[in-house]
Amino acid sequence: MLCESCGKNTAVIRVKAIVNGEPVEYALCSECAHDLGYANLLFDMLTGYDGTLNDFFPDGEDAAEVKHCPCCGASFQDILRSGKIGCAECYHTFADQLAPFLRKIHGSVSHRGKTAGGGDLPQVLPKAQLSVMHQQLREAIQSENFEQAAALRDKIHEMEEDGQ
Amino acid sequence: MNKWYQTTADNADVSASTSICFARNLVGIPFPSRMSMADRRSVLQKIQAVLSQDRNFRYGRFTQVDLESISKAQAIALAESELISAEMVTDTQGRGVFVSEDESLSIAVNGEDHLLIQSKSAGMQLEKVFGAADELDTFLDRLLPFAFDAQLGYLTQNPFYLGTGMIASLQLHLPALTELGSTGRIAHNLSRLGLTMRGTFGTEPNPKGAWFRLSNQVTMGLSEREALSNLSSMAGQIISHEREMRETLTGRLSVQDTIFRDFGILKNARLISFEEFLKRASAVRLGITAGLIKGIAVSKLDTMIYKAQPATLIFDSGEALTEEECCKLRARMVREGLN
Ligand SMILES: [Zn+2]
Ligand SMILES: [Zn+2]
Repeated sequence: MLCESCGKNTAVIRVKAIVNGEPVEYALCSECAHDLGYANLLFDMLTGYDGTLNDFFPDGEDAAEVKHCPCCGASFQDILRSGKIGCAECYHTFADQLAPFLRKIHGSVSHRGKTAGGGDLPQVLPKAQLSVMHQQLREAIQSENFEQAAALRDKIHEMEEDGQ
Repeated sequence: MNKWYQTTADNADVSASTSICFARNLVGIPFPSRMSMADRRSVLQKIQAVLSQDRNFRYGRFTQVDLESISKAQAIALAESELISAEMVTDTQGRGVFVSEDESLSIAVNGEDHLLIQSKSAGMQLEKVFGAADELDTFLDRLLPFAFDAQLGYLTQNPFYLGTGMIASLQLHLPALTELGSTGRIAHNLSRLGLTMRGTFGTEPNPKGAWFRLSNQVTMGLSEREALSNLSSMAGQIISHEREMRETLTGRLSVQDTIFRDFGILKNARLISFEEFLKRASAVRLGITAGLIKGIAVSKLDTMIYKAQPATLIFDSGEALTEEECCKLRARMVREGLN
């Protein structure tokens, strides 16, 4: 199938968009998809690669030896076919296979910026949250917003109980 | 309560709005393309439960919209408002969006990632918009196990967004640079600086209404603030360039003639398509910011553009409309707004 944007290259991806109030689907070649902002793992994997996808799937491979992600069940071939990672665990399961592609997309840099945290202590709200709430309670009382103050006081009480 | 797009803000003459998204996923649950229906429902429930823990504050008051229980027109209207993706419209089961009353904060659930946290505002207000998104993200992070790796950052379904998982965008109105044919060259240069600039409504080289979206493309190796400061400095240059060109352009009688003719048509038309409205509204917007058309705020025109989108118009009217009824209703709304 030909790309519906340039009409020249072979389409490799289908994308969805809303046009004139209706959902529509386009088939795009990798170049047009890139130009239109549909970043996809698959293109970068195949860009500059002379072979076809089949080279990634050698014939006669023993199915039992194919590695599957323990969390989502995806194989590396599933990731290549869909251009989508199966789950967070896949990044560890297929770390070696993904590494060259991730380097190709992002270079050899690693993450800087915000860090997820507190996720492994799901139910305990940190003291900071409580102190913010105490501050909000004082403000509510000062501005004589008693309904909000009462709700805040109950919430703080509830949280302090839970935290013990 | 006013929606975020109904407010006035700095730099809105060129940058109509700011939006920042964070892509987040939960540990131990397959990403959306491999999720079961039970997974989808459980993620929706988890997020609902977490937000309700903030019952006394703003997050607890978010409206939950389950996509499977709304009309197609409403779902498409949500996509036109960019609260959900086009892909979510075509597969609505177990998907939803949580939205604040002024629509400035939202969480789309089970789209490209488990959560897409989004913050928006009028004008160019990267700091404020980032602050609101960051605060909501931190609140959720305390109660939900986000998938994160020290090297790779936030783990996303599409590996392009690894790292911060953050995309910040400005909605730029560039009628003067479009008229001069400079936008293609600017977009090309920006792509080498880790930014992208594309047409908002359609993909043509000269996009409809001269609306462009300028976004960061790099999410890895740059912190959120570094990415925002890159975006802000490039946007600043584009904005001052556009303003200079507007000044030259709007001094020409032929351009003034187009502006006032388009204004006349919008004030009098009885039927108008969205495409025609966008084109003429672009000239009128230019006229307003140049001081040629007085008494109409830019935010009022931007609200009209928002409300004139086909599915949004149909959903707000509460009825099924034919193409002609749509054009009639749009023309009436525009007339009433401008007269
Ligand atoms: Zn193409
Ligand atoms: Zn997996």
